[in-house]
Amino acid sequence: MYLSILIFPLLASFVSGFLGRKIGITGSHILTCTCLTISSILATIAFYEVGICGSPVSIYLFSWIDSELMSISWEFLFDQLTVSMFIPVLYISTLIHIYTTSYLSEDPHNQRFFSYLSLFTFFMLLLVSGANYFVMFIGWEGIGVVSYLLINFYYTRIQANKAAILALTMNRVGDMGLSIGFFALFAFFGSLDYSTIFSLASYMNETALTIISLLLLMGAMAKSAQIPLHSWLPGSMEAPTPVSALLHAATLVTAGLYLLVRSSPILEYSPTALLIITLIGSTTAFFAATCGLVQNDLKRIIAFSTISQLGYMVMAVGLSQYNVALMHVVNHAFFKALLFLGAGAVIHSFADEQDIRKMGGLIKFLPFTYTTMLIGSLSLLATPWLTGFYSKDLIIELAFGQYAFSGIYAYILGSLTAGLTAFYSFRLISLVFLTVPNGIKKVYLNSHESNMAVVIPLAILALFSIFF
Amino acid sequence: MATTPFSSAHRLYVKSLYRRMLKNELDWVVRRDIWRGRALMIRAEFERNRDVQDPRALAQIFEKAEVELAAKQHPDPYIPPAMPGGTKW
Repeated sequence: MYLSILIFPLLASFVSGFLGRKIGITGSHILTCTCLTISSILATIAFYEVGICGSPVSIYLFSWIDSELMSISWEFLFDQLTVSMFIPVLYISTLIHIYTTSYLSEDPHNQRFFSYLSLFTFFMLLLVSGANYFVMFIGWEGIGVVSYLLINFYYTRIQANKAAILALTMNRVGDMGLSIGFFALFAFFGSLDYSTIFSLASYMNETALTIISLLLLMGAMAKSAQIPLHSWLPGSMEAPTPVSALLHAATLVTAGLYLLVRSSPILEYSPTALLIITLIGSTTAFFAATCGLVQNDLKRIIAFSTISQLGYMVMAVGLSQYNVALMHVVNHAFFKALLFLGAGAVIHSFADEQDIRKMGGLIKFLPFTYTTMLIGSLSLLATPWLTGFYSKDLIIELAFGQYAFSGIYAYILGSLTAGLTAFYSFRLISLVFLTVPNGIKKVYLNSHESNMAVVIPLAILALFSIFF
Repeated sequence: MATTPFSSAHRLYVKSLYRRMLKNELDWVVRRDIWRGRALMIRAEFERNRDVQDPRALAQIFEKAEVELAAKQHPDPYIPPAMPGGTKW
């Protein structure tokens, strides 16, 4: 059952990609949505068995590389961290597949898009379920390549080409550091298996662990858009909105966080690395929030908001609060995907206009979309009793509770960032929905709520943003 | 239609300058109701120089206007989605 969680998205991707002309657009929709739904149900069962009942699963398939000291096998580990990542990845991927059936209904390349989305989901699941750094790296590279394919979906647009290449090359910079980190891990530990490395970490030299941690951090910085490797994320808004919601809010950007949380046994023995992680995370959170204040593109505001929240998560890792960081990863995935999907609904209803200076007054035309985006924004702002509150507020409190320079630095920047987040979030809500209409009259006359395939994912994500 | 002493190229340039100033103002102000007042002020400045016919004086006015416009240019001007540089281009 556990491996079939990974196999179903891969199957959907292959059939939709290679047999797309045979099965047609509707066949592609039905196949991918069904496979993802089955995977989500199986992942929920896995979460109950592993996460709640506490019985992790390890599956050894076969040996892959067996060369002198190096022994790498196709092995999968389903522990609490893995199944905790399964839930947001699969739930959001399923909802986005359903959303996309309506959003891209007029696009002639539906089969290719659904194939890429399912392939991305497979690689992300592979990343989080590997039992060694090598299998994780297969998934890591896979999501980078599929991210390129998805950002470049409209491959006739030069801006999409540039954005996709920027994303790929910036991620490769991080991958270089990550690869050297793997070399260092193998040199010191003689293995890339999690079990071997984490059980030996406490006996290793602190300097060696610091160097390894910083190299792993380099990979995480590129994937999770930390300063200075953050600029690919706003550019990747060239992709269709479902891609932004899945990759650049909920899944791909959390791969770096997953790497850091998974490597926590190494990080914990390197105070220097934790200090640097805290400083980078806090600075990223603040810097990205200031950038988001002055953006006029609807998706770019949300993109910078994502970078800022990723900074909070990295900050939590630096404060050694891995559980809180993971909680914020999951909470953020839901409300940020909600914001992106809501933005997509607004854009589609407004003749593909993305500039918020040409919107306004949409609360009367899109009341449901407004409601869901307001819920997403309130959760982002850590409004008490919504999901964002329990994780984001806790990160700031934990920063305050750490009586060291890094804690004070993180607390001050985290608090300022929270204020800036409130400002740009309500700037977005105000300019899009509440203020006087600033757009073209003809566009308003044709503006209407989307159909059920869009409404249902928005409603489910809104519920998850309140109650998860 | 009454003839004017200005060539069609001159009229096109003045209209272009006027439109660019109005668009730049809207990029900054965003709200059309507030922009309307600023648009009237821009129109008043153009009207003030309506009867200037000396080419040298006109060249100086245009140069000053272009310099002012360049100084106030919005860093992220609005581009319609289907136009070059737009999100659907």
